[in-house]
Amino acid sequence: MTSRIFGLCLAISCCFLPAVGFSQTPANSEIVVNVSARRMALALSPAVPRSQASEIGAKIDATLEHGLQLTGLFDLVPQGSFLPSVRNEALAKTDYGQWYASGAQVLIKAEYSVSGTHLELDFALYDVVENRRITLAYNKPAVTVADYSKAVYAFVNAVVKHFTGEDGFLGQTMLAVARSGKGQPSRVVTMTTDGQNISNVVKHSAIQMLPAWGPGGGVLLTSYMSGNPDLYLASGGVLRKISGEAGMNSGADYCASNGRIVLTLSKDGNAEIYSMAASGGDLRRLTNHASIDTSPVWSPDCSRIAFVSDRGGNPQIYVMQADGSGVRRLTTVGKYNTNPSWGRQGYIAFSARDEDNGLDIFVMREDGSNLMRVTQQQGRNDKPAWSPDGRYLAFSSTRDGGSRIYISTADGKSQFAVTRSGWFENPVWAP
Amino acid sequence: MKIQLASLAIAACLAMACASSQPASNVIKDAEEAMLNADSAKECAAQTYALAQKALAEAQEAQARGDAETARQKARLAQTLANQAKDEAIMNAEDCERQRAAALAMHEKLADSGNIVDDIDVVVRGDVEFEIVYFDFDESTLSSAAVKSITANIGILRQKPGLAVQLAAHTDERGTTEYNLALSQKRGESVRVYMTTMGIEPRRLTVVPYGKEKPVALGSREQDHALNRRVEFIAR
Repeated sequence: MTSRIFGLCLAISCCFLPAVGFSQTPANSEIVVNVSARRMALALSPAVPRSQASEIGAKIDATLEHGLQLTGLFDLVPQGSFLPSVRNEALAKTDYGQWYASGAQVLIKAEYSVSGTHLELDFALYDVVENRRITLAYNKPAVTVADYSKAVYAFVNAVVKHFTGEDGFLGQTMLAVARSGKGQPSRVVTMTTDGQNISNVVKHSAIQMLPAWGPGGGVLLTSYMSGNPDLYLASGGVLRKISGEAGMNSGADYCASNGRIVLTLSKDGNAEIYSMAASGGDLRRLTNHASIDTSPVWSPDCSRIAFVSDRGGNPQIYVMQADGSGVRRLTTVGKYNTNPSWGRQGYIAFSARDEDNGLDIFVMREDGSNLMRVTQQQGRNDKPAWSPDGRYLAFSSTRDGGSRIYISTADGKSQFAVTRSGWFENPVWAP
Repeated sequence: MKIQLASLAIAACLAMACASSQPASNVIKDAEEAMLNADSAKECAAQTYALAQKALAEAQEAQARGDAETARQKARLAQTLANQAKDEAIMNAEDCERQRAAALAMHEKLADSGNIVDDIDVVVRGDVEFEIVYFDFDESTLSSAAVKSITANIGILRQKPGLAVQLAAHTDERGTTEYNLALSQKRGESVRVYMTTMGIEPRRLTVVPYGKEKPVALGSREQDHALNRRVEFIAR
């Protein structure tokens, strides 16, 4: 029986990789989504109070459900399908047969008690097929009622680790661009992956854009603080101008292994790609073309650079060696492909504009093959960013009105908003 | 056309000395008449005309608070400046007519696209009014209308050799942030190159690309996009 669940988990793990389940029909250049991902049927039992019920119970349930959905690992069994005998079941005793009959393969239960500000919160994961409780190896954090989500995320991350072997991402810090509304001035913020704990990176009110993680956990960003789009590094409470050439100093991407930044400068009149030391010196020009060259990103091993160029008549994704040699075009479908992000699994995600001027997210192998669609006509979907393990994408979407940050599995099968209000764009995962 | 402020001041003083005994209200009336006569110089001698307007307003304020002497002085100055503006406009007629034609062309272009927005198609900084240069979708090349607007602005820069400008370049909201930034850079550069070709010193021109970050029209209709695809001249 153990092999049944384990086999399923491998299949799900594979489905994270976008190589599975998509196809492209060359005849009409339409991208066809043909996802056949199988996910585990998860019963999420409402948190049970050990003594007096508290409103924190509902918050725990909602946060746990959202967190588990973001992982893309599970299909939630509707609570209406739970057989009456197992509703509000405590941790101590589990009627596996009844849960199996409810349609679950996996079960999660929780118990809590509140004492002053202290919250005692315990979770348990069960293999309903194998009739056993799964022991998770993780350190349960001590939490207060106010930061209950830390305990929830630590548990969900342990569940992800158990099933995939990869660390979960919940609770990590992301970068994003925030506005008070469409067309309003932008600022760079940090937030946790649940869209909470939003904080400005710099206090200045001038336009800020295109954030990236820099050396020492610092934040690289382009801002008009001096009246020109200059590149700054915010680190340890200090803001330092790294590049202040005339025109663009934008879109920096930092490689920790070689200590260099790639970015766009237009100091000679046209946007070109350069690399420079993270401290700001040793500038090397990598492109030299009358067309626009911009939005460079390092490959995971920093040996190559993907970028955008309109040298073919419209913006497309290209790749070159780290020294600027060996330029090759990767995208051939569509007339507007920009904002590449190169993931650790060897896939490049990008934003593509269609005839309706909408934007959608696509993914392709790093050689340009196996083009796959992640979003389809769900508002404006822009600026994809791979998670550190290359299994998830974050991007912005206007599908629900304002611009929100979404987290998606690489195949696009599971997509959930992480910000619920406000206007957010340009998410960047923790390095 | 340079304004000879020193000689104007002397002329005004002489006029005041000759007519200090005239009632302030009469002097103000004369100044108002001079302003009316100089009305056609509003655009072609904008700076002098604005100074005249300011002096007349000060004269009227002084009259209202019973300060007849100041009212007379300011009114005489206004009258002299108004006459000077009229003379300047005649001497600038050729440049002025070119500016009017370019403004009219831009106005017609906007009218054709259903966007007559008189308040938006010029940028005013102090007493300098520059035309905004507009671009077609995804384009950084200069249309004939764009060239006319730039030519009008070159006329202003030739009149004010000490003036440097920022070419603030923008795109519409479609497309992505950094590519739009690069596209706006290219638009600003197209304007800059054309102007230097026409003899404007490069050191007077600075391109600042903004991409889609500073729209003037927040809608998503084509007319909104058309207004946002622009290069603004901002006096520095």
